[in-house]
Amino acid sequence: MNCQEALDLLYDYIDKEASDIDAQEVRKHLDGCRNCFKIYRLETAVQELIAELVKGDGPSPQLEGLKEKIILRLDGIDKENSPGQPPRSYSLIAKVLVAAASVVIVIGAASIAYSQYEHSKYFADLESAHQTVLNREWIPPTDVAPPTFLGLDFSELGRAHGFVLISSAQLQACDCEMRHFVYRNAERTISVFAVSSGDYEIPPPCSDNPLSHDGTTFYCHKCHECRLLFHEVGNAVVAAATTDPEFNLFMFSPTEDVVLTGLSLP
Amino acid sequence: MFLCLILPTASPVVAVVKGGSVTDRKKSDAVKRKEFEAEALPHMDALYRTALRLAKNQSDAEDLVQEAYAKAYRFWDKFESGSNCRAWLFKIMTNIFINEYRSKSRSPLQANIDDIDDNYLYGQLASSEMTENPEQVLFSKIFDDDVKKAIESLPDDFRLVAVLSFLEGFSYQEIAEIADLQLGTVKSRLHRGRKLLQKQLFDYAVKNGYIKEKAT
Repeated sequence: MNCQEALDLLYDYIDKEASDIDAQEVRKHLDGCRNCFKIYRLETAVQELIAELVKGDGPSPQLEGLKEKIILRLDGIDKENSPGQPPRSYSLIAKVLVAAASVVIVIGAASIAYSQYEHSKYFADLESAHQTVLNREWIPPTDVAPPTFLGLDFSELGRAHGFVLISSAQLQACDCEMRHFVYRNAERTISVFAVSSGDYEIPPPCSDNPLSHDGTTFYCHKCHECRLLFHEVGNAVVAAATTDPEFNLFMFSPTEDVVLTGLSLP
Repeated sequence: MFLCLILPTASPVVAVVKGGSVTDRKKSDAVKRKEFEAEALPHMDALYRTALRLAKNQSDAEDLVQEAYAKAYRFWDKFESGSNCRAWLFKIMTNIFINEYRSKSRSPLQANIDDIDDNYLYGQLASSEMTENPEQVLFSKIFDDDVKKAIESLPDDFRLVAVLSFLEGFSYQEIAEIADLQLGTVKSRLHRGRKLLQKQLFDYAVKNGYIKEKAT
């Protein structure tokens, strides 16, 4: 191994990423070459200098404060997720209902039926349309509908994050005419549904939980597989869908300069 | 249809009926919480340390860590127990950083990186008068603060991989997964990050008179 070859592998060697054979060769070269060894020594010294920083950041009282804040956040999430905690005033009603057990069962069954109804009315079509495009076999339709819809231009949307619009199709879903836009980058496929707000209302399970970002209100919902994020732009309701839990959903403002930004859900 | 109007008020009891059928496989909340605290919270120091280098100020760093924990807790069901919790948490935090904190503007520095020689510091020090042990100069003179400043001066994309590698010791492959990058991109960013760091450190050393720049 000559100097250039050894230096090319030097960082891999220092980072312990070189293969055993390469590491052995580099070591052999360093043993025999004073100049390269000096470079190696300086590079590791710089590395150690930087790594020293970690030691300087030892435990501090401030971290205790941070831990408390995190615990409070977790408490908050627990509270949201446990609808079973009735307010005090409900306890009497609850007792009556427990006594009339048969009634409870009837209502329980009806509740499931109702939630199914809600789901199919507002989300199921969107979810299944998004699932279809995730299918490997799915080929974008060739007769692409124009990317402008309800006065919004969806062609630019996504470009800032490396997403390309690959499909725009008419969709008959949730009892109304929708446009289904599909964006894709190397790793992900995102669906965006647009519909006139006169035809489609933001679903009640969402509209109970608005979240605001940069002055725009969003409504999010977790479906069986998908997460969906709704908001209104002009006279359109725009919904984004993803099945990727790691991925922040998008906020869409096709009329603004910043067309698409990740929005972290609470 | 009338039922749906009644249901919301009756929900305390109904919820139990519903809950049983939908969330059979879900762990009980208390167990989940306990498990999360035991596995995820010990990594807070490391996450905060990295957040501080990424966001560059305490308040944003705290927000970043809190957001990461909140999100991780919500998706705790998706975490495969036994896999690397630390890397998983870093991935979540990195994602938030990239989407919400990373500055949109490209630093002008990037254009010049390729003009910086490899092993830059060595080249500079070797050509100054102290040739025998140049690293001693560095060790004795450069302070933590200079190193911190040098790291913070890196453009966001480079700083992210540099911090994950140099400070947290993640492997190239782990960094690729955490930051959602190709392995080659990780390597090239690390390489260029090193060059920039070395140039910054040298410039600080010269500016503060620790080292005399070679006469031209």
